[in-house]
Amino acid sequence: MRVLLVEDESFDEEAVRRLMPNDTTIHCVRTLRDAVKIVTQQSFNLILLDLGLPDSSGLDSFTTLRDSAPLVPIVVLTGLDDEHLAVLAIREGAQDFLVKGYLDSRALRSLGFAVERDKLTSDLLQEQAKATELEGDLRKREQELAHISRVALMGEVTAEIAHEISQPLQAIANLMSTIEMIAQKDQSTPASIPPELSKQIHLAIQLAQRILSRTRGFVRKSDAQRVSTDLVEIVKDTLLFVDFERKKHRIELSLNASDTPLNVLVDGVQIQQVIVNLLRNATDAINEAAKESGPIQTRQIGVRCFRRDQQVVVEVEDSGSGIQLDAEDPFAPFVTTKPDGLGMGLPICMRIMRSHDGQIKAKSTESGTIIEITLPEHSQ
Amino acid sequence: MNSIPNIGIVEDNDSVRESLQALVKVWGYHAFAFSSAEELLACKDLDRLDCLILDFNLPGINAQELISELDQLDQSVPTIVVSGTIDAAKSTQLHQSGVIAVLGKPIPGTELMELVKTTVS
Repeated sequence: MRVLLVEDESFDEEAVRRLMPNDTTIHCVRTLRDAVKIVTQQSFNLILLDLGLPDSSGLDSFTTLRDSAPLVPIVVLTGLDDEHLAVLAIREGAQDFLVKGYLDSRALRSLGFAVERDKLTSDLLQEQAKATELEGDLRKREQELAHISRVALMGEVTAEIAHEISQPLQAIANLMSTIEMIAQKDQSTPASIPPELSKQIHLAIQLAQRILSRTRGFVRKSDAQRVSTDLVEIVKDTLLFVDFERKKHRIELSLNASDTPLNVLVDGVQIQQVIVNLLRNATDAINEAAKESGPIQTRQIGVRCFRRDQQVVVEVEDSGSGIQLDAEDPFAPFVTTKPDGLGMGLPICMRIMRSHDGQIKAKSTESGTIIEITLPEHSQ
Repeated sequence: MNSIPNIGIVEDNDSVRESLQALVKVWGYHAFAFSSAEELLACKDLDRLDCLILDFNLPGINAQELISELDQLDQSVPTIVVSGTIDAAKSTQLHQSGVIAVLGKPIPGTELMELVKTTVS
């Protein structure tokens, strides 16, 4: 151990030297100036500081040296009559104080404690710094995930809109063919359609349809990414992902999952998206119900994963107000009960599920809604 | 055969279904439209259908299941499947179950009706 002793009186220096164990290297300086200089050049495990020095006195001696060597523990040496000064120094961050003339084995032990205490403090600080860094990493990862999920969601929204627009286009094309046929059959009608015009209309419809299918092809290139995955793991990952939101909305969540793996052949990101969507809907439903019933509203979401006739099932049940199932089809696009909702969540879920040969269904219970998704079990 | 052929249409999208119905009628056939496979299966006069235009992406019972179901009921109808997106494997599977054709959307109206005409004549 290396100790810096800042002491101008030889008598006291000798007392300290006698006190310290043999394996201690003691470097003694007589002025504060020398002390400040040497702590920038050499490293010490401990500083013993007499506050009364030729070039400094009182608390100033302590604060100056502390600022020059903030990482080294300092123990103050005082006379019998200025203990109050020592107490002030401790308030400023000194590890301890020793009274000159009483440098015995107890004093030595307290020096040992001072060093130990300081080590623990700096370890703790290091741990804290590490934890902060880890937390930053985690938050960054969370943001990245959220970004990926947003980009994927954009793709899904685009695909869904493309699909929805292609339907009326198809209807227009059919109706056009119908009108042509009518015109062809009844040549006497003066308003029969000029063939050139009808050809142009068909071309325009075809162009629009080609653009849509290209858009869809662009955003849906993930079919190849289907891998056999345990759906329980996907659900658990997803719950972790929305844990922050869950806590923010003070929602109690219970997971009841099969112990054995429930393997399905899926694009994990897409299925995660479906589950995130269901969990967010459940949260919204609870918040919506709470607007009416206030704080007595139960805030629970139950998630269950199980097997049923070669199908793997995930149920998400909320304690909200229940979908108005007798109203409009909740899976139809642009149907929403939320004032700021686009009404695309469930249709997208539906499309993802269908593209996986799965299904999604909703039912109202006495105390909320259950949405159930099913996927064929994948056996290797 | 003197009677007018009966064409069944199974399509969940309202506007597509209704426009197909109009197209089928203007070609001189009777059109029977259903918005789901379940609805078709509930129909009592299945044996009177001469041809079926079947959307591939149906909610509930899907196209493939409907075809097998009709087969089991001994009520198979010559079927043309129309589909927005379909992968090769599913298309092959459909062909193996005996469908006449799998047409990709956008469905060319005239081509579809020529096919219907050949089927019922």
